[in-house]
Parts: sequence; structure tokens; C-alpha cells
Amino acid sequence: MTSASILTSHPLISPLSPSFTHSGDHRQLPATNLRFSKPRVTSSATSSAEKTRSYSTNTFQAANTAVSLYQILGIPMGATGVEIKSAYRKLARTCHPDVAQVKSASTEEFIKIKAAYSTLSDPEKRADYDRTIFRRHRSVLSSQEPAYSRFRGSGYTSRNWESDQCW
Amino acid sequence: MAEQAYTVASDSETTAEEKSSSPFPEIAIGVDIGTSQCSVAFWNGSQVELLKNTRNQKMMRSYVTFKDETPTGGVNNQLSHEYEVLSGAAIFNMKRLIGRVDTDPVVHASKNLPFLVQTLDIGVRPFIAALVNHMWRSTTPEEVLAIFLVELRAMAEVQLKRPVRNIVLTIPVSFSRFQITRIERACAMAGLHVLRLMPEPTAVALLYAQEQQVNVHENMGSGSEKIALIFNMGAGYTDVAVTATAGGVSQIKALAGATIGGEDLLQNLMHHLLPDFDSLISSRGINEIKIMGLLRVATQDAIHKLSYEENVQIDVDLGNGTKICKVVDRTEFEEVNRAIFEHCEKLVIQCLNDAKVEVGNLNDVILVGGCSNIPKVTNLVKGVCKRQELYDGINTLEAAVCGAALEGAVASGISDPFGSLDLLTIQATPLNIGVRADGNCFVPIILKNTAMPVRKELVFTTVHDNQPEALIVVYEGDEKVVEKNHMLGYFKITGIPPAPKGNPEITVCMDIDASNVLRVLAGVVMPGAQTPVNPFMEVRMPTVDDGHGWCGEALLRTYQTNLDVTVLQKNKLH
Repeated sequence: MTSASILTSHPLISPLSPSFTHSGDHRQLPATNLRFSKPRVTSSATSSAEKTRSYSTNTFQAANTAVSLYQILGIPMGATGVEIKSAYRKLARTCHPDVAQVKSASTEEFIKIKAAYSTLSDPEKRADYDRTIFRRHRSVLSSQEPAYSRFRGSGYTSRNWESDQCW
Repeated sequence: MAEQAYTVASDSETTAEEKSSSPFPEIAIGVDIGTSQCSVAFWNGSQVELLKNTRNQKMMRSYVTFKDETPTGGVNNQLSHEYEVLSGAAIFNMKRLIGRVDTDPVVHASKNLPFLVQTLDIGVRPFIAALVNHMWRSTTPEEVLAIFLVELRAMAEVQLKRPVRNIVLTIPVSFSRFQITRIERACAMAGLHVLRLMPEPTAVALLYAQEQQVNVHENMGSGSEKIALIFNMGAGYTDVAVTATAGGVSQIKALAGATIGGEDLLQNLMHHLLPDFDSLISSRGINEIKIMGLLRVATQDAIHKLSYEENVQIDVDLGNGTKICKVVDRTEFEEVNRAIFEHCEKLVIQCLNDAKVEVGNLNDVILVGGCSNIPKVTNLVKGVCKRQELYDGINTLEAAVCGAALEGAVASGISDPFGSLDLLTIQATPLNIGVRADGNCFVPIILKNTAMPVRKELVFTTVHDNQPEALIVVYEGDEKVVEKNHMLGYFKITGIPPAPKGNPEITVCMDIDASNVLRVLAGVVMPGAQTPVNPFMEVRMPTVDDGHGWCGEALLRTYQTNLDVTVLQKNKLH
């Protein structure tokens, strides 16, 4: 097996996962994204504004560079714990490799959903994450690329939120 | 002749006629091979049904007799008497022996079984043999299991009127990945493909999830969450799981397990009844085998009776002038096995801690397995979980196999118009998986109780200046020191360009897919470089066969710390 195929098969490597651009579930997301109700977390107002802006410029690019964990689960940033859990279960019922219709992409998709869920379901991690969104949008130019994205991108050099969560 | 026994006419690519006879030709069946008993269940299109053998039994004894030219298993074999299993010709408890080396205490304890288990204590597979015409005929646990599985498969094919190839098999939580490969090997010998291996309590969890789904008609994925603890104590293994269930989705929060079970209770009581048991049977002649058999049957009966009576009279003539005539009461039995019961308690507490669940938040406590009738077991589970009542909606002996059959239908892509199969188990890893670093430290990459499928990675670096190669040794287990864990395999990253220590970035990525296949990917990249120095390595683990203890020692002896790796500090910043 060549290095290229190993690298592109890696979910953290491919910034533009097919699951996010082609899956029906995720396509419906932008709408949810635009009407954030009751921002419960301190930084959410700012970051959601940021995100809305970047999303509206070019959906494709937005998906490429910054799909938030909230977008992955298809929930607003103000979602309650119960809503997060329920969204996770609903997605698992369609995306888990045991039950998914399209087996090939489902593993990667499920791993992303699971990563998003494990961050957002933990109040501390969620607060940290919300702050990261805020910070990242301010320092988007000065951010140092982590070591792995240098060789893994095979052309793409962007990071995404899921990869950050894996550390 | 013997080889023929392994191959049931394997026609998964069969005629159109056979395929059309069943609407779901490829539904995997559920198989629960217990240390002592075994059962098969399948999805019949509307519900799970257990298969019965020709003697109308749902539970079949797990053993194989090497009496005649062709070995026969306990699926259909009619035993003239219980003692026939104990004549030296029958091999059983293969689930306790499979994939273990002869330094394992479990193998040593198995020397009390009435067939030959010989150890050399050097970390290789034990010698196992059955007495056939006054000769010890050697076999392996894999072979015994395969013979048994062939019989099961033949039975299922006759009754289902279709070829059976895919199975979902339940396994103990504490099985190492090496043991799993031995189980898969036995299945392959029997012409079966393992679609899923389910830790036993997770199969029970799936059945529980279905029952909850039926009870509350709610939408998929929503509804109130129920947290259950499942305690499964069988003849060979004890497992615990904590599961969070809602809308048919069973998420395994934590798993714990150990190789303790009814077999240990039996052995402890045998030694209590006959303290010089071990020296008495050391020569392993035909008479000794008979003594072992007689004592075993008598003790087994006594334990069964003690589940319903306060005390039991044991009368057994071992035929060598030794007669055992003793009344054993329940307290005595519990005292003799105190360590086992304490271990069980520990497993429950550990599993609750790992799941971060307080006993007050448990909605249900489910007790299953062959030992669930023992009053002490019931009481200890109730005690730790602080509750008066246990969940009673589940058959203690059939739950695991029914769950496996449900998983078989779900994983085969079958859907049910009434929603009975709108189910999903999100499995968790039972053990940490990681690599050796800094000498003999175990650095986990995938932590135990992580949801599967999963992919995690960690960046390591060199420990010497200009270190040209790095050794990636993969282990599985809970211990901090590598030697106490199971080695899964090893490979070398070569061609690291000359650089000061701590500079090259060695990425190790671990990937477990939904069918529990572990792949390890690794490669090196130099700071500032866009691409890896050499192609990444991808290794499917485990790769080691017998004697994994040896490999670790040999690697250490040959390379010392020359090819060591250490965790790259920048990992910790994230």
C-alpha cells in the first residue's frame, strides 16, 4: 500500500470528508446554524456570528475549514445535554457502520460524530471547546500548524476541529 | 479422516433454489459457546428463536469425545452417563484453555480436569490430549472447538434449511486479541465466518435495549435513557458491563471481566473436600482420571443443590479406598470461595467507576449466566448495587445468545417492519491498546472503554541522537508495565534521517473498525517536511503467535533501548 492511500484514508487527514459534503443529514445543517437560540455558553454569541459569516461566504469552503462540533451533530450551540445525547443517538442509528446504508464512509463519519459527542456531552470540555472556537477565529492567521498536518494533507493543509479533539 | 470432520459441505455460494427458499439467506446466527454449555439462536423474521438439537435441548454441553475414529461433540451425542464425559476421552472447558500459554495460572488449574493437560512452563501452548483406547491422543483447543462448531453448523443448516456461514459469537470481556484470533481460527476451521464477536454482557445489553424499545414505543434515538448494569457469571468467566440505553441504541459505557467462574467454585470445593487431591492425581493413570471424574460430578451436584438448600450431604466412593462422606452447608461453601466472590464484587465496583455511574443512577441490574442461581452471587450483586430487586424480564441462560442473534440480524442489514430490529450496540474497547515507550512503559493510545469504531494517534520521537530506526511494540492491557500486558505485535520504522533525539516525529495511529479489526499505522516525518520520510507502515494486529512473552524478552535482549521511542512532549500541549 502506498503512503498516499494510507494518508488519504485517514479521517484527520482529509479536511474535506465526503460525508460532510454529500450526506443528506449534514446538508440540512446551515439552516439550523443561522438561527441560534438562547446562547447558553459565554463565548457562543461571538463565535456563532463568526461562523455564520464564514459559512455564508462559501458553504463548500466553510465545510472545508471549520465544521464545528455542533454542525456535526446538527444542533444549535445552545442545545441542552438531552438534545445533544438525542442528536448523537439519532445520527448513530444512521451512521454507525453496523446499520449504515453506505458502509464505506460510515466509519469515518461515526468517529467524527462520536468525537463531537464526547466533547459536547462533557460540560467542561464543551466550555473549553466553545472558548477555542472564539480564540481560533481571532488568531486564524497566526495559528501554528501542528506537525501532523504538514505531511498528511496531501495538498490540503487545513486543520479541522475533530483533529484537535483527538489530542 | 479427522480432517473431514472439519468441513461441513461449505456451500455459501449455493444454488438459486436454496437462496430463494429463504427470504434472508445471509442472516448471521447467534452462537454462545460457554465453558460448560452452548446454544444457538437466530432471527426467524419476527423474533429470536433458539435452535434445539435432536434431543430437544436448547442448551447443549460443550465437549468433544474422542472415543471412536471420528470425534463427536456434545451437540447431538447421547451420553450414556455423565461419567462418560469424565472418562478421559472427552475434552471440555476449551473456552478456558484456548489461546493460553502453559505459564498461565488458568492452564495450571485446568490440570485437574479429567483429560491430559501438560505444561512445560516456558510460555508455549499446553499439550492437551484425550484418552482413546488407552493412548493419549493429542489435540488443541482450536481443534476441539472446531469439531464442536461443525456439529452446531450442521444442526443449524438442517433446521434452517439453508447454508450457514456467518455467525455472531459471544466472547468473554477479558479475552485478549490473541485469544480472539484463536477463536476465529476455530471458526474458520469449521467453515464459519465471524461477522461479529460480542462480549457476552453487551449481547445481553442489546436484548435489554430491545425489550425497552418494545415497552416504550418511542422514536428512534430519543426517549429517556436507561442505565443498566449487567453481571454475567458463567462456568469460565465473569463479566460486567454498564450500558446506557435509549431508543434501541445501547451504548456500552464500561466493561470489566476476569477468568473466574463456576469452574473455580468447583475446583475450590473439590480441594476442600479432598485436600490431597493434587498429589492423589499427579500420576494421571486411568484410575486417577476416574477419581477426578467421580469427585467432579459429586461436587458439581452438591453446588447445584446448595443453590436451593441450606446444606448438602456428599457421599462419594473414589474407588481407591478413599470415601468422602461430608455435609457441606452454604456458609462453608461461601467461605471456601470467598476470594472468588470478592473478586466478583471488585469487578462490579470497577465497572461502575469506569462508567462514572453511581449506583443510585442505575435503572436496572441484570444478572445472567450459569452462576446466577447461586444465592451468594445474587446477594453480592444486590449488595454492591444497593438494591432489593433484580431485573426479571430476561432469561438468565438464553439472554446472551438471543442478543447475539439480534446483532446477527442487525449487522446483516435486516430490518423489521415492526421496528423490532431498530437496534444498535455501540461497543467499547475492553482493554487499553498502546505501545512500549521509554524502556518498559506502556503508553496507551486507545484507552479502554472507548466507543468503537475508533481511530486515535499519538506522536512519538527518538531517544538517541541520530537514531536510524525505531521499534513499535504494540500491547493490550491495563498494566503500566508492558510485560504484564499482552503483546499484539511489533515492527520497525526504518530510515529515520540523522537528527538530534526528540526531533523526528514518529506518528503511531491505531484504528479499530466496527468488526473489531485492529490496524496500526506508523511512520516518521521530519519537522518542516511535508511528506513522510518513507511510506507509512500498516500492520493488522495481532501478528504474534505463541510465545509472546518470549518475543518481548528477545527484543529487549537484542536491542536494549537502541530502538526505543518516547512520547513527543508537544502531544501533551493539546
